[in-house]
Amino acid sequence: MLSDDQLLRYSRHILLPQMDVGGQEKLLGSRVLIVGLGGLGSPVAMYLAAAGVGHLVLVDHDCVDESNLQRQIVHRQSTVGQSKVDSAQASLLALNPTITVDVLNQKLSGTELAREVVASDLVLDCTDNLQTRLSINAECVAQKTPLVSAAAIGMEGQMYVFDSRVEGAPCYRCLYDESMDLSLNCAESGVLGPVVGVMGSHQALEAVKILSGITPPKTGVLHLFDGMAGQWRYLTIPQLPSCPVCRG
Amino acid sequence: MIRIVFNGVEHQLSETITLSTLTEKFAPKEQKFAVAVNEQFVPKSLYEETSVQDGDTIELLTPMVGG
Ligand SMILES: [Zn+2]
Repeated sequence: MLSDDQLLRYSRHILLPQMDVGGQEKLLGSRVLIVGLGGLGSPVAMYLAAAGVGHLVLVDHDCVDESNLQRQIVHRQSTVGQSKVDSAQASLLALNPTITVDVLNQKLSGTELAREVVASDLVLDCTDNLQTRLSINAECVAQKTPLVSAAAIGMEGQMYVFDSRVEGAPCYRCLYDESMDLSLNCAESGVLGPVVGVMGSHQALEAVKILSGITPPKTGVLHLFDGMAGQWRYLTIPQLPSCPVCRG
Repeated sequence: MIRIVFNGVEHQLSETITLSTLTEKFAPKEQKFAVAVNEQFVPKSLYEETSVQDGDTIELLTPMVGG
């Protein structure tokens, strides 16, 4: 049952026939894990907080650096030097004080990662390295938790939804494996701020759609964004018959 | 003569080749990429037995990890 304040705050959601009160209630009752509070995690966390996703858990072990502010819009000049999770938590609660925002100022792996994934309705991978991406994927497959993952570099971005609740769904490991680690990241290669913003916003859109149940998740499609041309392309990811993660 | 589009650029091949030969030809380094043929990814284990057809669009994608 939504309060009068909630009916007002989320009125533009509730006006959408697909969303309605039922969809908004599902968002309010959701718990989401956001790993990485950088260029992707910033718009992801802000849109999910604004949308009224009831419980956000933020994970990052970094501190805010001045060079982050060109794209990591959840942070502020005044929070340079603070932990990213504390900086983000303050921004998100300033935006929407009615939600719960928990923070983990650490690298998350092993049983701690498993514990957080199992407690979540959905996981957003906003990290910056292949190893972490693969371990988050493996845990999401094991727990059958939907995973919305994205990446950006230069003028390009990739976004994928993997939903292990769907029979025969592929996973991140079906596409990329450990041997493909090029370790190209934004710190070394540069990235245009709004490109990573587009990708993070796209993750937030997919997350809101899945959490509110307004559309069945479209799993196993690589959304490829060319920021220079302003074009999207879509590539199908079949389940790898020999995948050690989702077929193991 | 078969015509393919490889990473957005048109190429002509004088004979039918496998995906395995094609990737070695265009990307001789270690295989740090995934390959999509006509907008569908092909598992590495099938490169040997997949032959490139006239009109195919082939793309090499490296894992993008920045965030
Ligand atoms: Zn898999």
